[in-house]
Amino acid sequence: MRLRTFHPHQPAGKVNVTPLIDVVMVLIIFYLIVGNLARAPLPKVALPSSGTGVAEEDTAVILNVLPAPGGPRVVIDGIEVAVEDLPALLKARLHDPASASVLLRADRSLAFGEVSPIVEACREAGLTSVKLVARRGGTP
Amino acid sequence: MKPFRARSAAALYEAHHGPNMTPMVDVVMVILIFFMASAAILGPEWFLKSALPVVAPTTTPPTDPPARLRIVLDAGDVARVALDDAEPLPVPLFQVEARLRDELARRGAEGLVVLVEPTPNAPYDAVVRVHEWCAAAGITKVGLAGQRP
Repeated sequence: MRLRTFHPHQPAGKVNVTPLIDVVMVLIIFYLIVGNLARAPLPKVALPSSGTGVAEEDTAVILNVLPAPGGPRVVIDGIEVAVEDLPALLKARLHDPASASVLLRADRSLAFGEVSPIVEACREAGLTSVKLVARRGGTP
Repeated sequence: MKPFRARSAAALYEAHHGPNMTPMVDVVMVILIFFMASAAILGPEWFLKSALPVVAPTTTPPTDPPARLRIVLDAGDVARVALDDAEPLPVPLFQVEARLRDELARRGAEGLVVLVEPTPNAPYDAVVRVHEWCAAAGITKVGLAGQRP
């Protein structure tokens, strides 16, 4: 009796890993997006724009400086903070202030005189640098 | 009339009707999601680093200190620029970038420190602008001076 032979495309003994890689990559990207969305949303600040800059993720504290009638408001993680309390708060939040990464998201309409108390508070807390946040884009 | 023919498993396995779109759809979807994720993570913001120098009276001054280019920012797009302790001379703000590049070409990135000294009436936007010019020129030592007593 003549038996009908079956010729599969894939030779026996090899595992096709392509669907596995596809699924794992989709899962990784899904968790990246979810992790990114889970962070507290930043307040809307009219940032100055800059054509150059550096993007970084490991940020310790983000200082949001919003214009207000009685002087600028400082918001950290959605909570308003008085400028007088800022050095103590920064010292408490940062283990090593000298190498900490603190972002200053200040409104472009502010005068430097309104931002300088916050910069001085950072200096008082022991920070050796601040990072001025700007919107990506060319100089207006 | 043509008689029915029993289909074998092998014949069914071979039955393709057009190209297989599944791998292409997989790859296109992964690329699409990758670009969406990278756009979401990078975000529309970036930053310019600024040092916060402090006066340390106990340390001995270095023997060959780098040149200190002081940029005093005033209100209304006017700046005053001076090297080290010289009296700052007024310069329109748009000319500061050319001066920065000029000093960098003369002294190199290691031999130049830029100290931004904004007056209280100077716009914060101008402070960021000077930092942007320094970053674009390749000046790494940029600091924000404190309020003078």
